[in-house]
Amino acid sequence: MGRRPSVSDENTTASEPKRKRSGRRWFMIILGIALAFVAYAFSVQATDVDLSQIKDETRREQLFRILRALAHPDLIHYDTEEILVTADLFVPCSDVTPEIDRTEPYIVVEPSCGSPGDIVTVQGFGFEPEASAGLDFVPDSEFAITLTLDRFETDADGEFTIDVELPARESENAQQIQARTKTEVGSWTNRVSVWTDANENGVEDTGVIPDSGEIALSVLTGRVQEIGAVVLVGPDDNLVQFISFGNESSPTSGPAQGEIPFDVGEARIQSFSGDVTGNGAEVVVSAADLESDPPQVTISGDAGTDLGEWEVVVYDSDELNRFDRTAIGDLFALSPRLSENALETWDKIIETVALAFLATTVGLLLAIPLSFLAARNLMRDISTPVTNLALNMLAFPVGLVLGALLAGWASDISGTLTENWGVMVIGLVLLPLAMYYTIRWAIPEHDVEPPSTQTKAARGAALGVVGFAGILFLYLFSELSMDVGGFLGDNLGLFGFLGTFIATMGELLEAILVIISAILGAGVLMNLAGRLGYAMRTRLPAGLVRTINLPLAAAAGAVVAAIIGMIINWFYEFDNPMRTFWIPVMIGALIGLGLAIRAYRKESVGVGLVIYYAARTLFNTLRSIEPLVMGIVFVVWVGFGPFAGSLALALHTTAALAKLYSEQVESIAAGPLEAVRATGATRLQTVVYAVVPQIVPPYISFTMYRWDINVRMSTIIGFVGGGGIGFLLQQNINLLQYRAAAAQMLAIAIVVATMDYISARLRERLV
Amino acid sequence: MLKVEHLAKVYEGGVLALEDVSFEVPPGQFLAVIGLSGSGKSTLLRCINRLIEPTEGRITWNGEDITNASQEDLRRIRRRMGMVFQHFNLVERSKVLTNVLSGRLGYTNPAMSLVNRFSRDDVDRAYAQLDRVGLREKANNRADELSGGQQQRVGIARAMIQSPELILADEPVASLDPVLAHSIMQYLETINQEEDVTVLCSLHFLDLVHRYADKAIALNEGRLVFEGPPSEIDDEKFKEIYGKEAERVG
Repeated sequence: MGRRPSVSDENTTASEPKRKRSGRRWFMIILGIALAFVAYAFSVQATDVDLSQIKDETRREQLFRILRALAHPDLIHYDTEEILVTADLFVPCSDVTPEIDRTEPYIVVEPSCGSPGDIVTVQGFGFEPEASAGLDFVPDSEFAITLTLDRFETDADGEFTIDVELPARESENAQQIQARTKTEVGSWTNRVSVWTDANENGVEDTGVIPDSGEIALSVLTGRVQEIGAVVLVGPDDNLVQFISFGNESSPTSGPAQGEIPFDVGEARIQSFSGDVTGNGAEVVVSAADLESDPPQVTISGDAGTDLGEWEVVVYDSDELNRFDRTAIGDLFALSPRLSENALETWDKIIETVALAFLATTVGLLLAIPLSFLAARNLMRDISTPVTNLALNMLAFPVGLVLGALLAGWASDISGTLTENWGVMVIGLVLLPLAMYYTIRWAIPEHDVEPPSTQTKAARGAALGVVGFAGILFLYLFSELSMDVGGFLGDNLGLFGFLGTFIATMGELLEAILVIISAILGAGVLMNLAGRLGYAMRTRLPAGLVRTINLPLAAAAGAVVAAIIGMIINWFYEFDNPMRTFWIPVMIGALIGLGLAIRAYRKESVGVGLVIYYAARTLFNTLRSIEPLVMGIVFVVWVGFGPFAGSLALALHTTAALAKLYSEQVESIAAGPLEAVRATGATRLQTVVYAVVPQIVPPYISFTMYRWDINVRMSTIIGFVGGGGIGFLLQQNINLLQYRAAAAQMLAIAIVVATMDYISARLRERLV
Repeated sequence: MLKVEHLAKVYEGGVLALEDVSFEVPPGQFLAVIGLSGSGKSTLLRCINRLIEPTEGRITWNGEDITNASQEDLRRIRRRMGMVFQHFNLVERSKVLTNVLSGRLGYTNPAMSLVNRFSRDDVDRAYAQLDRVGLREKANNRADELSGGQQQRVGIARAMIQSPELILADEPVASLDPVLAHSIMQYLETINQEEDVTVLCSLHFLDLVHRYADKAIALNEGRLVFEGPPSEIDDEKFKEIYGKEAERVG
């Protein structure tokens, strides 16, 4: 259809013949190869490459041992049973011939007598095949001693033959050669209950109160000392009853109430009645006979109450140090069962995943807003007139301080309000309502006509009050969260951690409110400064504004320099006002002045790019510091444990994600941005309607990716004390417990692989 | 009345995009802007709503100085100027309805936008605009599920929901096939004639200029080389506008 203009374009490109420069090229190649040779040679030397180590026999054996240990992760625990087989022996020989008990297994000593130093041959039959065993000499003695002769392994038929030298122990009576082997008790298909005598009374105690309603217990077996206090402790170390003798002392926890159930003379007794067992039963120490040896304690309660995990703790009378704990019931366990190491690994791997989860979430939340600051396409055309810039820089620190002061004030008011529950609840209900209606008035849904100056001022003031009310409300709310959370934490039992979480969030809110308020204050004041600057520029003659700019810029530069000086002084503690305050202030003022003169004719300064470069630099610096290094700093700050680790990971995640995100923002299509700006949208609206929809898929994808990284990182952040499974792993490696370490490595491998798989699937779904 | 006086734009790096461009657009006019690619048509249109900051010159609209308007004033000015783009510039992952509604952002309080909320009234308007361009049933589709012609109709709906007095159309049909081009141009024509909206439209095809425009201005390397009714563009003028080597194709 249309007639379309076209321009003919003569192509006048002349092609020149290529000149060969092969001589130079060859020289460069040879030089490159030579340089590479030197570089590799140096690297090999610097890294101590030593192939003889690889071939070394003993090193190899060590390697194989470790690899085999790693192949047998310590996950399952078998209780073992020691089997003793003895054969009589005479040293020196006598006319009595020892009888051989040929019930399986048995050992034969040949000859069956000899002098010290003689060599005898010991043969064993019917043992476990390929079991490790020990051979002892049991001398005739009034003490139970054995002399180890040898360690060996039985052969595939469960037999062995060993030559041993007879020790210098002579006796007329028969002495013994003893073979010790250990066998594992039970199997997965047939688990066996194993009993450990936890209270060392030689009797199997279940810890269940019998029909008589009483359990008698010997405490302090084998040791008689002055007893200061006897304490009945329930499961999880909760104090049930505290009886002190002599020195006055008080209980450290638990409800203090109830009657003294028995008379022990001078003793001060505090008995805690109430539902101590959790199922309505009451348990008390009903009698204590501390004079007898060993001292006896009687515990009474409803028949059938299980005290299997309870203990009686005895304190000495001088310092009230805990010096003995006696379990009421014995330990019963099934063999085989998951080993201690497996249980610990499970605990820690859960901690690890939670750590990674928290770090990713916190990092994500911080990185999203920050990423916009590091996106060139959003920041490029933010520019501000010199007047506004200078005013803003002056307003910023003042606003911060004012905001922080207001937060302190709000916190005080909240403190008074929360003294009374009723007032607090009324405040919590009324404040949001009042805020809602004020906001509805001050921020109309449409701003059709430009409002009058008075209306604007009134609205501004109203919003200021709302801001303060909001801070106050948040303080009240954080107080409420802490109260409610604390209450739930104490009363939800197994789900108490939910309450604790609410309380922690309240505490966190309270802690960051000062920061929020300071930033809000700075924002408000900078906004006012902007309006002032605009008014100056439109109402005053341009020349005058330019003249005013000079002192303003100088003052702004001075303020910035003073702040930088204060930071430097904080780090290096010069405490020399001349060097850390006056000189920087002068230099800053000069720089400000210089910039203002340079921008004298120019209308505005590109602040956006300055922020962009600052944010970029900050992210790159933070990102280049390994989380492990950050972990060290945080461990110093908040102590050992997963909290330090999650803070370190969160910080690194923030920097890394902010950078990745900002690159995504930079690569979005510019068209929609332009279109939305053209409708009159503000910068914020442009971000919400044109930027956010475009960046959701890459943001999800990068978050998943980072989650992967964090799971992997959190497994080793424990190396520096940052919690998670890494601590356990490092500990076991240092103790050369490779089988235990293998369990942790296995757990890490499983978790990382699972997370990898899940995140890959989620990414497929969501993006 | 839109008045452009001595407008100049120099890009960073010294590229001169516009040089001393002056013209007037009375209300209700359909003005075509023609010229080669790179002659400054897009820059001119974007200077009018200050998507691009002019280097020199003044633009006034109904007596208000656009070039010196504060951000707040600029927002009020922009929301009365709809803009339609060559590549539609829809947010592809958003719903058609949201794309249309984004035309109301200039009227919506930023605090409301933060929670992604538009008033009932705005939503009704959006459906009315979608009715106008015949895409009501596509309201809940994602924008990238639509064909090119449909996307440009959404673009027109987005501009029209602003209740504009002026529409800036930057090569609105250059990415569409000829049949669709006419349908889009007809929408603009209707808007111009029935709702008395001034239209500034840059165009490639001269026959579209002849068919729809009341008046045309032509740019060559940033300078205004022609101003007058489209019928005055004869062969001589054509060579002046497009250069000596240009030939009419058709």
